[in-house]
Amino acid sequence: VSDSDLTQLDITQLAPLLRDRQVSAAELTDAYLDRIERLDPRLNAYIRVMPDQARAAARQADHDLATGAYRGPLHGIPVGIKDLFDVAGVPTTMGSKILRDNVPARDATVVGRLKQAGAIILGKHNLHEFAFGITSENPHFGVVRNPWNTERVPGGSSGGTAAAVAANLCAAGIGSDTGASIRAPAAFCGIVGLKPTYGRVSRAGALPLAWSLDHAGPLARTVADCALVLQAIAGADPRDPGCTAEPVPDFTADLLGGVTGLRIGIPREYFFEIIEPEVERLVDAAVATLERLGAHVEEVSLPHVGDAQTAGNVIMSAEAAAFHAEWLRERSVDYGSDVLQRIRGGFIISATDYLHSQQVRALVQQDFQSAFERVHVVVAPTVPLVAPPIGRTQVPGGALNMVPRAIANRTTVPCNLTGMPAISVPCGFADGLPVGLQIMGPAFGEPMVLRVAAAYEQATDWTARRPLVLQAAIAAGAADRSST
Amino acid sequence: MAETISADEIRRSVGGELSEAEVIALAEWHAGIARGVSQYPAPELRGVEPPLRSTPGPRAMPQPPATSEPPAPSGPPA
Repeated sequence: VSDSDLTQLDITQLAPLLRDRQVSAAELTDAYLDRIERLDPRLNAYIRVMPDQARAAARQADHDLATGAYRGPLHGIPVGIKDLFDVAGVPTTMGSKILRDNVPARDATVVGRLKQAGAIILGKHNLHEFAFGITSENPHFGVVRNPWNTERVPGGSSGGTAAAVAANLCAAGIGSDTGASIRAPAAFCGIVGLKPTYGRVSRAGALPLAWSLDHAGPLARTVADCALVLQAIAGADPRDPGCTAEPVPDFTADLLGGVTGLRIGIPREYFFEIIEPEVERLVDAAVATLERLGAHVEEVSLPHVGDAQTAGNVIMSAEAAAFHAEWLRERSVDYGSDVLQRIRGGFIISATDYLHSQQVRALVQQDFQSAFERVHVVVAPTVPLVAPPIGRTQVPGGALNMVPRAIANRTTVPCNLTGMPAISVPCGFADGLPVGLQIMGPAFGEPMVLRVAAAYEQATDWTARRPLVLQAAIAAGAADRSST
Repeated sequence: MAETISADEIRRSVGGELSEAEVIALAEWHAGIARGVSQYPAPELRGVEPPLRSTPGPRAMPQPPATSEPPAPSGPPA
């Protein structure tokens, strides 16, 4: 297997090769580091690459394999970490100037669990400053570019992670999602992103954006890879007061279960009211595919979900302002202008508006509770638009002639309010840009969400398509090898 | 429900030195939020409790082991 081929393999393909020592963790890690060196200058997905640590961890992984200490399907798998999760001894910047020199002594729980599972940490991914934005146009570490079109944003805030996964600069990554930040970049970059149930995955060692909305979760190229990463990072953690002791099931057990006989809900309200026509067409086609695969599709009513975006933005801004209050007083000049504006907004939210928004949260939860008495999952667009052009995210544009930043989280934030699991899986391309299908399930219903996503993925070939920027790099790599 | 906010209130709440443009931008942002909040279904809000909870609170220290004999009386040193 050539080095360029190695980075194209999914985790499910790599795991048996590593286990049987047909491929070493060292050569796999080198292949990824080589790819990062070639491609990342065009994408800016990484804030920090950790070649020495990664190679040392890969050697250890190979040594463990040689001595029979196999740690499971992530053993020797190179992954990347959004730079808001702590990796001991490496700065956690959160994409900010303020935390440029913040060096933690201890791993975040998710990072520690990935290491325990044998994964190799390649580096820290770029993101929207302080994870407070949807574009990853970072004023301190540079704009992250979408591998499908480098003049477009990758989405955010886990934009570096999504771009890196899409461009094969890591096999999978860990992101966070407070209003959209795993699912929207996954949709914009044509990969799979899962926001688990609130409390399913520890956030200990991750800097908060908004405590009551923050989730950690995986981004990967396939649904099965997402399930494998989730398996490694899920579970109780006394370091995170929001983390639950809910038993962790086998997330891969139902992946081949199909959708025959399952009931799929399509929201009557809100989710399809503001949407680019081509995105709507692709989501409708995806729903038709699920129906053809044997699912029963029906409308569900979510009468209060129209208030979810306002409620989410109020709660997010107020909680972010509380976290940032001291820095804002002392170092406001060190913030980027858009994030500064949004955090300052939290100071002019009244306590009653915050609490009314929390009450809306309860109403939206009741809506979904009623829906899940009739259907197994609810399906909708992940994001109502395709990735907008860099530098044009705060002005009207696109097929809807609307401000991208104003609408990009409207279909994702309801699940941050409810805490429900939701996954984005690629469902086609509009003007050459990926579109995501969002599958939402009841609390701790990740196995069902993954099952439906896997059934759709297996019936289509969207996740197999790779960005042009990657194909060009592969061709260049092949040319280099043939000339030496 | 949310109402419009004055420039003075913005300056007082946010603190620090805000430019005129920043105050205007915050006022516009707040107006958008206020419009959204004004759409909330007030009668229904009265029927739900916000999902905010206290915790049971800190636990007492473990009970000391029961003693089977009363402690010996202490008296002045002989």
